[in-house]
Amino acid sequence: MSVSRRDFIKANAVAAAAAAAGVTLPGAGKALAAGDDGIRWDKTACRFCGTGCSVLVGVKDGRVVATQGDPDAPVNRGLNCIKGYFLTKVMYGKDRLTKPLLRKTNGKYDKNGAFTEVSWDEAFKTMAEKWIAARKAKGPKGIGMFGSGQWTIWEGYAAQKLLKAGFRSNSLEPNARHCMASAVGAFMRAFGIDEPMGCYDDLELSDTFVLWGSNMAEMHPILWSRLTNTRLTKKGCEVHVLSTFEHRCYELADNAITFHPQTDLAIANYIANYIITNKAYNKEFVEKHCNFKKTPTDIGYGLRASDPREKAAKNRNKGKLSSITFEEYAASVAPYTLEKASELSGVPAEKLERLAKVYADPKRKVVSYWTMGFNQHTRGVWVNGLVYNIHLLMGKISEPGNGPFSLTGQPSACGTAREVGTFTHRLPADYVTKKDAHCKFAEKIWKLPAGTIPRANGKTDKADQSDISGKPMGKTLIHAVAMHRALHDGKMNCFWVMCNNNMQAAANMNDESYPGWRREENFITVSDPYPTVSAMAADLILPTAMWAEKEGGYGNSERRSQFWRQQVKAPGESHSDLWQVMEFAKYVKVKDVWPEDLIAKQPEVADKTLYDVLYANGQVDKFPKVQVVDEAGNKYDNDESEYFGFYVQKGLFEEYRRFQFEGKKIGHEMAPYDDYHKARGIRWPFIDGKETLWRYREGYDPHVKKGQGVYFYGKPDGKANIITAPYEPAAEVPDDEYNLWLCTGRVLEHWHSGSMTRRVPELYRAVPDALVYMNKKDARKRRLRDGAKVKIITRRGEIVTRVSTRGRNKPPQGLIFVPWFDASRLVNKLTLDQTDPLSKETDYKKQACKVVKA
Amino acid sequence: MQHRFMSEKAGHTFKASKPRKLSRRKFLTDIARTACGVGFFGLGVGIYSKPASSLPALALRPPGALPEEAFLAACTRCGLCVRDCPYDILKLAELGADNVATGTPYFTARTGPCEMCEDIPCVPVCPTGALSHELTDINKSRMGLAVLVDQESCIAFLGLRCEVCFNVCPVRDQAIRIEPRPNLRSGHHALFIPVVYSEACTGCGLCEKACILEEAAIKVLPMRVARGELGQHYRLGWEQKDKAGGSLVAPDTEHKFNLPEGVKYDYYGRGLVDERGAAITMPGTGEAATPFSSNPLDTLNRGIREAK
Amino acid sequence: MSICSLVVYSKPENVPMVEKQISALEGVEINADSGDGRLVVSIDHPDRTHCSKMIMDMSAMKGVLNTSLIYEYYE
Repeated sequence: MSVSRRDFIKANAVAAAAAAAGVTLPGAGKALAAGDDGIRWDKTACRFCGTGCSVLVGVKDGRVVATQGDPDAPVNRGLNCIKGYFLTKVMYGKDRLTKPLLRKTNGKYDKNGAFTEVSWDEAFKTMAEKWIAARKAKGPKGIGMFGSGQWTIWEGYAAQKLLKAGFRSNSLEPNARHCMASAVGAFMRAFGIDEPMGCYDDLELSDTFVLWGSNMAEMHPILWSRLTNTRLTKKGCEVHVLSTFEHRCYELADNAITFHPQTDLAIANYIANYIITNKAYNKEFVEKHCNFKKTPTDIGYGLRASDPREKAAKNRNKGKLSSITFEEYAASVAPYTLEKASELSGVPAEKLERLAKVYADPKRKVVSYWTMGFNQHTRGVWVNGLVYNIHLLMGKISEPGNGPFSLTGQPSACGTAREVGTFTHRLPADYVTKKDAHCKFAEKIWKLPAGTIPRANGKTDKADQSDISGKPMGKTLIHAVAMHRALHDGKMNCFWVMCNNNMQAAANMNDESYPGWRREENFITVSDPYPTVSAMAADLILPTAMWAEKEGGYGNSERRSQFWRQQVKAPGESHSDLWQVMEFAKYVKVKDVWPEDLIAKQPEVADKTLYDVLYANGQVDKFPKVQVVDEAGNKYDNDESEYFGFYVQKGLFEEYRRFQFEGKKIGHEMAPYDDYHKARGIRWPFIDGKETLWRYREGYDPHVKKGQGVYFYGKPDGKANIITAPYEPAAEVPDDEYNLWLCTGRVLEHWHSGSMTRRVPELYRAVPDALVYMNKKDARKRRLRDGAKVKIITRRGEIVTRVSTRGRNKPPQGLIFVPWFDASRLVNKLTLDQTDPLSKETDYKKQACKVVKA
Repeated sequence: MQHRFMSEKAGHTFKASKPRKLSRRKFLTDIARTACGVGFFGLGVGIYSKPASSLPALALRPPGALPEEAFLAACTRCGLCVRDCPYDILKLAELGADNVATGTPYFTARTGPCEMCEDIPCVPVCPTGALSHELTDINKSRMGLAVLVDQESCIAFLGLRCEVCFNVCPVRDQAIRIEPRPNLRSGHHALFIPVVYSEACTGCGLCEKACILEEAAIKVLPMRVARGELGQHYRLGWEQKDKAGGSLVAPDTEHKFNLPEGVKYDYYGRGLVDERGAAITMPGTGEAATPFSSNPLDTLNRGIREAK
Repeated sequence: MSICSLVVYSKPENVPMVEKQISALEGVEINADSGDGRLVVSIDHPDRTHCSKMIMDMSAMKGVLNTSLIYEYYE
């Protein structure tokens, strides 16, 4: 505890005693008020959701003692939600991990041993031995790393290099796979470039807001605050909310639509049909700027191949588009009449029609927002695309107040996971491992021999890539859910989880995640500041510096990148994820993981470590270490630079930027490193010193030439794809025994798995436990009263919790909602590891369950 | 981490830090209490402090309690309600407590609010009806009234997104409602103001307990302290109209307006509506605990409960 | 760490003697004197049992009539 805080408590203690004794205390008031003196203020980005609020952090005596919303930040203008209010407390939980912990018995690593403090050197030596062995024995998928949309930009970039170029493995995934992958898939299919075309200014400029599967009121609280303000102050403004259960946004909704799970597909198609049959579509826009496509149907549910539902699927995992005409497209949506949509969805026809009318009205500006309701969906890519279809048909896109906007869940799901491309199939700036040329481009920037990066199909120049295992490289892509399956089956033996809590977050913990992690020959490393559920199930735990304990950068939903300086030191021997990735690279030699013929192309690297070839490559290490100062001359630490001897973050970022400027893909240009420390975030594409607010629109986007009007330059012909896709049922539908839908999600007060927010006493007190939100009639039918202890059972497991029939979420009959933040009620024991077969993102929103008295 | 106040006086002055005169009686009881306490010294400060603690001034009565005077007359201090409270939030007042008669049941919202059991087990066991047996619907109980006592520190009034009191309220959206207002300072956001409606508030205290401030900004007060009263002469027109099922005097006539084709005028609603396109738009004008041990190894070695 | 505050009671004429003894205790500080025999005293020490011992020592101290623990903070 710092001196200042102790003084504060003491002053309170003395004031209390003096008051009790009726004694006037000279100078007591002064002591209390003096707290604000000598505080150093600096800006940071909030480390919770994808909104990207800026937070000012006050540091005194090496400790964060105060915070405030940043009044100069355009996103939040001085405001925060309740998580932001307690932001700094997340660093000061009483059980921070401060030393590496390895499972040991009698001084030796033992899978079933007890956690024992070890040095970093011993931790990395043990880990490197396991990783090198698994890489050799099992090939590129023998190892895996699971990172995060909460990684800073350079942490993701350093990990990208370590796995793909260093270990020559595409087994790198972020938790954003659970969160944003469907949005990415749909952006790529429709526009050829990831991320929204609009920005948050649409919250003020539009007059119609449609929320599809987004509880913005709780999950993007500050954006909701802006939307509400517009609704209150703008005449004629309307809010339409679609969800499978009633939640906080319904309080503001002019048109609240509760539909049966999965029928959003039918509703979106009905709207397109309404637009076409009423000839409301923007003919000129469609002709000039759109192509029509269809996607294979009956594609399965991303389950294991042995599952009967997968065997029954005609086009399992298929997504190759084929061209159709406008008339064929019109015919494909024609079956979705108002009656049919209403019948399938259970929504009164007039509500659906009212929604269709606002989209079809050429004078109305419409923004569609969505989050997990659309993304965590076994037809996530389809349903994202269906909303693009509506906006494209109307030409309501890429202009102020009009556009589809996928809200991102995490603070840097965009900035790190998507832009840096920490997915198995991606490279930075929308390049992909599927394309030989893209890999070669990356190898050139990284100064590595051609053929280093594993191609998705294991072939370069049409020949097999060789591998340290002695076998050909083979197919290399493995997505998040498949990683847990591979661990379960012993095909992957080493797994490093960083900056997330995947044991709690991944679906089907009982059948897949837990047995996989605890399998005898598997070695699991978890980097975390706290002893999370994942840490409990790990073999090696690495204590991690978080958020303001390191220099960082995040990118939010509206393409805004924000940086911060290191504010304080991390406790004990904790180190940032960046330090861990780079330091671990020193423990692996190139010849441990590269085959001889690859080394032969650049023989001088043979005896070097991965650290030498990836980070000390003359590029990343070219910026000397400097004393970080702000405009006012305040000094800041930079522990990574201090340790490695050069300006690590800047070096990584500037190398990463080359992907944005030197390749064929345009539209990802970011500003130089130092600019971000001066700005409250900068929205890319950043060209000639200017930010871009609306993309693809002449005048707003520098990549669109004069006279083009609108140009979707992510596609070769500048045209976006309208892709038809039908309604198909969910994978696991309630039946007589498992007679309720189970939907999981978050609450305002807690972030994700609660490993941080449940350590803030005030937030824990506010919402201590995850309840099951249930319809009153459903509860009564089961003779359950409010507060009753119940068991929720699915085919995969059961948990015990309490019923709430009067809580914040009011499900319709037949559906329950359970939040997943609560480590003592692990709802992912219940969920099914089903994914969208295209995006590989888990659907956490739809499974069958039953509820009985406990 | 723990805070502990040994005196309710200290509890008040902690925030205000205004000196307060000790009354003679208070002074004597303090001494008496400490004298009792000395005997427990060997057990450490924590236990020593217990007899020294006194009752909070904002003690609330169990559901169904008669008005205070009648309640005190009827309550036999038998403790059956305390015994039957499944959440153990009811206590019997100890000797020397201010404002709470010794031996009578009470609870303290901030530390242990009423959990609002649907079957209200504390009421039927009351042998004298001090807790009225007529109370069968817990939502009809009136243990007190939640009052947002400090708008200056409530973060909702500052434009931050909190609404914890609203979310935990068991008669949600009735006793506490969120009323959005534009945030004139930021110009771009809304304030989400919690407003308590006395006709639905049971005074259970869940909101006070959950308030995330160090000192709750929303507090449950005894009814008589909490409520204002409207002058008897005045009626609320909109309520009277609702009650009567229509206007009390002749209803307004139908209005007609000179309007261009395709434009409507929604007199009571949105105003000018352009059916040809959009509506005509105007430019927008004490420390609690966490469930974790301070030693991370305790958590790690506990293992994942119930996991296969 | 542990921080407590107390009111220490003694006869006014004994206050100087009590103050002298209290100032010799480790981690204990006198913050105010009412002038009528009451002292506001705080204890600040990493060890909670030390605090409890200090309270006992003060209670048993020559010239002290009584002590009253008002506030305790520990983590």
